[in-house]
Amino acid sequence: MTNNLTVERQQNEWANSSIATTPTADDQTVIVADNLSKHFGATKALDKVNCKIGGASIFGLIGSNGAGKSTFLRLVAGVYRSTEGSMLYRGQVVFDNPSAKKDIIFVADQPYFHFDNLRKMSALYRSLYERWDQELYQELIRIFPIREDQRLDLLSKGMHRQAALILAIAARPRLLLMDEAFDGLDPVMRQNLKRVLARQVTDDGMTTLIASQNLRELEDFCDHVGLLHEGGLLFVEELDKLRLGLVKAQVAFREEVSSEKLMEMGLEILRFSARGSLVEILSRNTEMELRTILNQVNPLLLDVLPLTLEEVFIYELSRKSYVVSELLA
Amino acid sequence: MIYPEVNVQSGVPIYQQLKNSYHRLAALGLIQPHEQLPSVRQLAMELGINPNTVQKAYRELEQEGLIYAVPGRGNFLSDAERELDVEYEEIRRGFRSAAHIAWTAGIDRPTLHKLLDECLDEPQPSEQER
Amino acid sequence: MSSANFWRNAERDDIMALQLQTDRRKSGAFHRKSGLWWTFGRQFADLRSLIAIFVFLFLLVMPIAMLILGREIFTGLANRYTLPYHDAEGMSVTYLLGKPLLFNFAFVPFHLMMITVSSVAVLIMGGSLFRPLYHRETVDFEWSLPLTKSQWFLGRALALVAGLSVVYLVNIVATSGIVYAWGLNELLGDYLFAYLKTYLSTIVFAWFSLVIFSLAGRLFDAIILNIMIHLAFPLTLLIPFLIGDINRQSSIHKLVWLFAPAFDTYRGIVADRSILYYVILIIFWFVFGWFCAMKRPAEWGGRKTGTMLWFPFVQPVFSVAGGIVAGNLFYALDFANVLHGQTKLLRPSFIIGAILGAFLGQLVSSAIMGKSLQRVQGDEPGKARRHPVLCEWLWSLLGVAILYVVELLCQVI
Repeated sequence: MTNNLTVERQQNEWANSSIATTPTADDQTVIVADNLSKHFGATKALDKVNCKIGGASIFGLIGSNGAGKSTFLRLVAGVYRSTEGSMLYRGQVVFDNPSAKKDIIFVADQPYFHFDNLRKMSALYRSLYERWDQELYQELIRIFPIREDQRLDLLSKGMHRQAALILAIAARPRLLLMDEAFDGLDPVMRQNLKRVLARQVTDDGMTTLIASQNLRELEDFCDHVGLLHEGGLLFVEELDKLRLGLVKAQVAFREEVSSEKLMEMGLEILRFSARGSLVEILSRNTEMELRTILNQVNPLLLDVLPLTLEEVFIYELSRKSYVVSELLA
Repeated sequence: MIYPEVNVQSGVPIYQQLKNSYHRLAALGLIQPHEQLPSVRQLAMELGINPNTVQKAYRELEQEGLIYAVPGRGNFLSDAERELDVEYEEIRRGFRSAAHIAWTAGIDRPTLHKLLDECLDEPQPSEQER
Repeated sequence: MSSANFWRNAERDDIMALQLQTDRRKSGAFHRKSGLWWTFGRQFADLRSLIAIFVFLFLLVMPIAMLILGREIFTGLANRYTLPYHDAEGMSVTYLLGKPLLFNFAFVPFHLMMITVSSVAVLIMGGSLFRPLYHRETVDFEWSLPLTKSQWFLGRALALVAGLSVVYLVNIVATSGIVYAWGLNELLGDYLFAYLKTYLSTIVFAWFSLVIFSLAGRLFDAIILNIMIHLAFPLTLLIPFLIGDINRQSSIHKLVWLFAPAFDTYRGIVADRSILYYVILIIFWFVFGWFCAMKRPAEWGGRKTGTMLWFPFVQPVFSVAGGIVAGNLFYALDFANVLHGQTKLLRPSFIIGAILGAFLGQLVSSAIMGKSLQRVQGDEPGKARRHPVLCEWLWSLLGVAILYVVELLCQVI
């Protein structure tokens, strides 16, 4: 009976996953993708994506290569025009709309600099963005050390990114878009970036959208994540809630306990692998539930292991095909 | 002002680490009741973590009664009795287990007390190691 | 998580107050220029060094060249042709290629050199202005700025005109100064008028180029396509002319010059085009160019032009040109034709030549523009859309059909 309920719940969740919302009040919603599709000829880079992203959030957009992250970012930035549906920033269509774009800055994977030093680039940004903060700019060139007159084309990739970030943050956008935020930055600069972003979030209510393949970097910084897979948005969820639903434990039982027995006791086991006397269990329960259930059999050893975001995503993805195979069976 | 520490590598959610940290700091008396906690801004900037995460931790700590907020001024440690149910339960479980082993092996109560004292005198592993 | 929750904590009121102060201070200091002024200013500033180069080149081929030639020789040249070079009845007495000249012949060599440099200037300045459209990184940067596509396009167009205007202006001032100093002011009247028309014809060429710049995927493609179109059209007139088929005065053939505006600048020396003619063309190409620029999506940056959806519809130009050239050449080699007296269009030699030439034109233009000739595949940004060779045959046959229609129309009109 548990299994039937489980399947049903999974199916419902999957059906709703294409309409994913972050729990925000509507007036705080910054980005709305409404049935958004982007086709390049016959290729569907994004297919009927629906989501809302709330204000002052640090949102991680995750997906493998070709999943559509860069396309999504460029749609938010107003570089691409949607093929179907719309991309709205605070209720306005972004494409070809300067009044929306003046709040949005896009830091591309390979930033382009029209001028070859920061001084001239900062003058350019200053003339376009009325929220440009010269003092913040001065502070940033000290924090991410780059001299104003340094030739940008001679710098490494990581330094390019630092330069682009300096310019982007000093312009005080309401929405900052980053294609790979931390790639190429050394650990000290990464920490600095996080600090600066944290400050902009509290001081300015800035919303940040980071697209990345690198889960490790995002999982300790984002508060919401969205998973893109082959052009579809699988889900959008608060990061901590994602972890809540899944737990991994290493157990040593006093006597043989089968997974079926544990499932009867209420454990929604996703993986049960025995290595010698140690059993690793991955289940769809909270830690409390797991402990309560397992303690009933009085194990010799019970260690709850930290679950990486990668593992969470792998199971979310495999759950999708799991449900599909259930439907076909 | 005391700042808690977090370890982003550990896999434990950061807001959970913050909460645990504050519980411990309070329990150890390193923060006094009615002492001001760092603001969301300060804590996020100091540690390089998401302000929303800090906000969440503070909100839950407030719900748990560990802290209280004064609008326009900040968060402060409360002087209410702290809930330590979870910790008590964990400790009880450990003690039960030890007591069972002692009874099976015929070890008497004073010896058990001596062993407990030895354990308490041992240095605790730091937050960074798990 | 709403940001309202932040403000619950501590310094909300202080931060808000600070924020208001900051915003007030900043918006007082910041006066935003209009978007168009910004894009124009930016593009024109970027064009500075090219403008300087072309100012120098224009000066070199005209005023400086005249100075090198020297006053005596120039005056001698000017006097060789009767002054005034229209006779009493207003009939022109100086001819070039059988057509009356519009101004004194002495200017002609310099003017021709200047026009050549001018056409080069259009391509190079235009290319420099439009280069950002052809790379993904630059497109990402530009299109995320708070400016509209319209402002970018107009800024570029106006910068191009302004650049060319500066060059033309400096040149004519220098030239006029020299001619005046040599005491030959009476020559200036007609020449200035012709100069103005030449300037306008250059603007027509510039606006025509805007269309190509707006449609191409890469800079190389834009420039080469421009040159190819300019070569293709006149070839359809030139080759038949060379083999003796002088019957090319039909109105249809006059349309050729509309699509080769760079050559039209040369015709400006002899053809009596009205100012209105140029104005109409300027407006037409500008509107068309603007339309193409507005339609252009960001994802075209860096794509091979041969992969674009519109390219197969432009290709008939090249297959028709190839067909006419080869058809006429084969016909010319077919010595038996004089005996048969068949019309050219029905001669097997012409037909074979036309078909082969059309196919060759199709293939060559496909190869240069990056349209790949294999099995059809799905379309992706940057990936060449492939067509089977059979498809290319069909397109070139279309070219042959158009060719025949055109030729038949010419004989009728």
